[in-house]
Amino acid sequence: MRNPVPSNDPHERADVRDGLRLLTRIARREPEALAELYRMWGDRLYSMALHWIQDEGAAKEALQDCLLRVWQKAGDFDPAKSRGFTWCAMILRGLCLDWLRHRRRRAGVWQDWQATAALAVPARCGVEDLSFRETVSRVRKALTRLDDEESESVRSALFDPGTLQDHATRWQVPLGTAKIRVHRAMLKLRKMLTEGDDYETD
Amino acid sequence: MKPTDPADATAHALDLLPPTDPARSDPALRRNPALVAEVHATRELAADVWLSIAPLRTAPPGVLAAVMEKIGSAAASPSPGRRWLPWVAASGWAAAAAVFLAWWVWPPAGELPPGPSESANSTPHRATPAETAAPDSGLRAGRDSALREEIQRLQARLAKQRNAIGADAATPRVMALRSPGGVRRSPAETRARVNALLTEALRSVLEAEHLPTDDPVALVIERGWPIGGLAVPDENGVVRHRNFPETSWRELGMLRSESGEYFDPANRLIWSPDPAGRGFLGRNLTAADDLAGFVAEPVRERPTEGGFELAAPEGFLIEDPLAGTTQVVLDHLPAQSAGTATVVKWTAAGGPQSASLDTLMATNFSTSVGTLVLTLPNSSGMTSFQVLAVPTLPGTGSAQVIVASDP
Repeated sequence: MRNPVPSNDPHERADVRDGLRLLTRIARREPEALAELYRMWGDRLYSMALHWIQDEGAAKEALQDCLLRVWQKAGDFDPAKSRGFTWCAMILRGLCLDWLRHRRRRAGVWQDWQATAALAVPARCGVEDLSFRETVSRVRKALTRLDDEESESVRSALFDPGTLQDHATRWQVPLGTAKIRVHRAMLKLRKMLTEGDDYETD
Repeated sequence: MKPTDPADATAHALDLLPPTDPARSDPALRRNPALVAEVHATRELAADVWLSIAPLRTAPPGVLAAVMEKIGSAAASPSPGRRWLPWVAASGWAAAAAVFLAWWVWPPAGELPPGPSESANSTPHRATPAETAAPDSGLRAGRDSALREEIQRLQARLAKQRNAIGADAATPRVMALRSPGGVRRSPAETRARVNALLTEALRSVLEAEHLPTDDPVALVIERGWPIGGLAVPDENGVVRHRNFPETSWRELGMLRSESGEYFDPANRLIWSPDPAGRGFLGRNLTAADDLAGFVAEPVRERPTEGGFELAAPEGFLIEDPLAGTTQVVLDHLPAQSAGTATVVKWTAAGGPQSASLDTLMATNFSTSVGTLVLTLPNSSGMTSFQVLAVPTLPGTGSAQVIVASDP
């Protein structure tokens, strides 16, 4: 995203998503590598944080904290477990969930205390996310093929700060049913992304 | 493996398990390869969904600098002298133009300021019909007299400003932008080219400012072609194009009438020759206009003799370290074609930023005279800059660099 013109360097191209080269350098305490990582993913991570918590100041703070965690924990990154972007996104999500849950506790209202992020595909804006374009296109297409219940399951699982017990209560189903509902919706989405246009609904 | 284990793995991957759920302490979720794979796959999918549905926003300035400060490292700084040329200018594009004109370009009393063809300009520039039918010398002398007074006034203001802040500290720098494969300019050529662009821009603006009160011209375009979104302020207002691209109307998507008028569908303007011989006048399309007489023709080979040459886009950044701003001068930007957006990306001390050119023009636009002049706030320490034509629909091609700073 930060480097929208495709690079001729195959290592750099690969690193746009897996981040291994940069995270290895960050683990060696190279500040410039952290700056490069920010240039590559900063806008996207900030956008995700803002979408989660709907507060510009808090999103900025979450992004700063995320980068500090990346700096401190880069040595723990295991490329066998996830891509670098996913690793950073999970750190960021944890920070955002903490913020949301803290707000929820302070608000003293356990359900529907505020609208959580939508699962809708956003309207196009002037800035294109070139590095992730192909992924974004595939995911958006797949999301449109989920039915309402599946969409709600994915939305709650990915954006609502509550636990599955909260979702189960809201859906008026047992906890086990809520688990299976979320799992099936995520599994269907994954299959659609894997199989693309070959995916056929049962 | 229990039948419910995959569902527990999904919930575990997303940190959704309630605090009292026995699955939280189930070692199988960490040891069973199939469940571990389920956890990893779920997280990858979650990240894909998160990034795909969050509307893309530019991170606010200062994030990188704050992080670097906390880890005890200075934020990535530009390499002084690598891309930037030392220059003398001032904040504000008009003041900058005044400095260039008064201290570098402006000729001794009695001479005219250099026009595009007189200045050191390596961009091919052919005489257009409008140029060959040049305005009469009396009009030009009068304009130049007004220009000189205005420049002297700006120069005095600038000198006062520089005395107040200290000349050494207020020395901006200039970075050249060029299109892929474009000519790399020497410092002398860069200076000459910036001089020419700013001279033209200032001349156009001053011409608009010094027009007779009954002249309806709201905007003067010196040359080039405005990107989409040009609007004439009121119903009866007009825009003057001093070097109207008559021979490139097909490439620019216009329609022509037998009487020599042109219709620009993108901006819904009708262009007619100025009876005073000062280029073309554009006005808003009205309900009374009959477009039946305007016809389109397929794009033909670009003329090579006597025609308007679409020159390579180029640009310059003028950084004012004191104000923390950067003026962007862009010339010969191509018209924004259907299905693309013009996006500006830059990296300054506060980190990388990007925005659509439309957005920047709406908030930081100084003037539209063919040469676009924008002011980027919080942009000190600029290390890279790009203007890109980006497809607005996924899978319809890749971004094309229009101009960029040297790597």
